[in-house]
Amino acid sequence: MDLKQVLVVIEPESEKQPALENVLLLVKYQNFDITLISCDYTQYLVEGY
Amino acid sequence: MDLPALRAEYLAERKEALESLAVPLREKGLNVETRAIWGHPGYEMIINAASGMDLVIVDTRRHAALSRLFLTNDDWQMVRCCPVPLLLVKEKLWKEKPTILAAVDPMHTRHKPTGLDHKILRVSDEVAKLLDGEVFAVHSYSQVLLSGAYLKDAKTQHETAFKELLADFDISSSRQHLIEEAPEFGLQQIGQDVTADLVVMGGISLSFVTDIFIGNTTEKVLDYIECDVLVLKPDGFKSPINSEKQG
Repeated sequence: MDLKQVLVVIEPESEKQPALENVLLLVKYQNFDITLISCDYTQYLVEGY
Repeated sequence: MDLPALRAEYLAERKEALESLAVPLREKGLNVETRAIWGHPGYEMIINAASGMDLVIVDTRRHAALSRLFLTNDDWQMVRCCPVPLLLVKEKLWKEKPTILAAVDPMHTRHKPTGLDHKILRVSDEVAKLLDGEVFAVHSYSQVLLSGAYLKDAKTQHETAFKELLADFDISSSRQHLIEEAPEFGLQQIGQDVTADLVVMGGISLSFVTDIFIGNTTEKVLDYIECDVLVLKPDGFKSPINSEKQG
């Protein structure tokens, strides 16, 4: 796999981050750019709730 | 109540948390960006953010009573719809020289597109070479009962198709496993036997209706597998997620 850009989905509050561990393993062998992303939604912060 | 301001404050906190994770990576010389986004459903937001990426890595949640992957609805939808290779990871770290299981279906019993098996084997080989690992190829199938009897030559057909597929790859016969068992059980068993660190498999959805009535092989397998899984889509796969819907 030719990796240049890797997206890592993160749950920031989680105590363990196995996806990050995995990235660190892969990046030892192949250099690529990393984007850490979190996605949130709660109805309490939406108009009309 | 100023909801937009509250959302902005919430996302700023999430961004800060991501930045704290990014700092040690940057100290290692890595180029790391962070994005805290807002939206629903989450899998659509992530798939849109994955445009232009070469790999998406997602943590799977642990289930206290199970060592298997425990996937949320968003994870399932990512498996079905993410056009980019998707790596589902657990907490267990890979061995220094990882064992990679390439799960193929050369008989296309569930209409896998031609070429996906070659892609699975090619990517497995590339990952193994990158990490100095070892590839095992496995084809697990279950016989179909017709008029109370199994097809006599079905096993031969599967053997022939498996051998023809592997003829293009350098995988010794001791690392080729043809298993007469439903894929979900066969892969679980061989994964334990060879202590697999990663299973590479295809993930396609035939249709919403088909999935409801007969289920999706990939999803059944994922439900039983005990190690990390790399899900690949066939070349030219079009995600059903409409990026124009997203803001």
